[in-house]
Amino acid sequence: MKPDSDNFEGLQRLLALKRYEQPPPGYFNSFADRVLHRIDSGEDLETLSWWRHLTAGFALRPALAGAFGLAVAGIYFFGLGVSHLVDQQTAQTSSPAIEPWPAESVVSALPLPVEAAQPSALRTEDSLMASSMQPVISAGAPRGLFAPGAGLRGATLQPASFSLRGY
Amino acid sequence: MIAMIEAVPPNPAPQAAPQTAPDDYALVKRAQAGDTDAYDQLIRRYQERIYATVYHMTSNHEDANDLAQEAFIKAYRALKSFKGDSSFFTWVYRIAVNKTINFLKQRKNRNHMSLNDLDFNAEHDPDLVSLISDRTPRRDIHLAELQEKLNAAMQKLSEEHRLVVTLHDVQGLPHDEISKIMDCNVGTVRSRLFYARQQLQAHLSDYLK
Repeated sequence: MKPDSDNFEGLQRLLALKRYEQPPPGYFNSFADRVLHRIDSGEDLETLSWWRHLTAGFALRPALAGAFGLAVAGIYFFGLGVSHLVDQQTAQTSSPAIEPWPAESVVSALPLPVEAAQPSALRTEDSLMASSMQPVISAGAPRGLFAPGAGLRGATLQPASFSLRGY
Repeated sequence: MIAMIEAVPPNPAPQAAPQTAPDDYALVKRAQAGDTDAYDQLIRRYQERIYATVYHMTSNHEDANDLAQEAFIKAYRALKSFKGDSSFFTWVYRIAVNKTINFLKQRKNRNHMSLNDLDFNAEHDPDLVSLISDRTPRRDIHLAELQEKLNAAMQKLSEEHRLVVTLHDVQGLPHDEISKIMDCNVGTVRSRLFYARQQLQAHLSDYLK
């Protein structure tokens, strides 16, 4: 049997059930005092209401509180990681300017086959001091490559061909 | 049938507003002059009805607590602008209703219900007992379950339709008072009430056979 669309008698009796939904006993005894206290304190309704609803939501949904805590912890650790990364990058980019000594130590440790006789030549190469990222060997083509003999200046020269005695 | 409807405990709300209007006016004047005791009396006079309206709209005691308090706070701060064109009762009701509707529109997905606060006396109401035991097909249905179904059906209504049902069928306000609160004409109130009842009847058909 379908209920009569114009007869709401049963529905109205059912809705009367809602009149029994009441707040906890004694709730209204202090209601006006709470309102007046909030008026006296001059609190800003708009800014406080969101926080009150959030905390009320935590009380009603423990899972929500847990999720909020996880989110806060996640943001914290993410921020911590980002700050470490930034620190490392800053240290890498600024360390050569602050501490130039490692470049000289690299230069002194390298084998100098030809230029060893003229150490001053190495000191004139600015690129060697520029950065540890640039290898000191790549300062340019060897001096004797396009000017034969130029790199051997001062060394003892031997003829490429010679004859043995008696032949 | 009519006798059965009248057997439902009458709600005192309809008589309250016009009868207390002179006192309200004096209290409002004192409150406007900064007398907080006068405003305290106004709060105590209407707190239960404002709270109940907000609660039946939200189905949540925590929200009703916040919104009812904030409605009275907002009314106090706007008291200087109250000219007395309507009764204080209607004015503060309108503030509470607008605040509640805005709240519900902002939180469409929120659907908390406090269903464990049914008054003990409800179990002894003869109409409700007969409604459950005689007219409901599931005779073993628990009162709280029926309340849950009722609240769920209420939440399916739009805010305006839920408000009309709350003010008229739950709180017992007359049509003209509701029209003032909702700032619409009486015909709109009647048509909304009819539509809302039809919707509720359809949702609760299993319990109304």
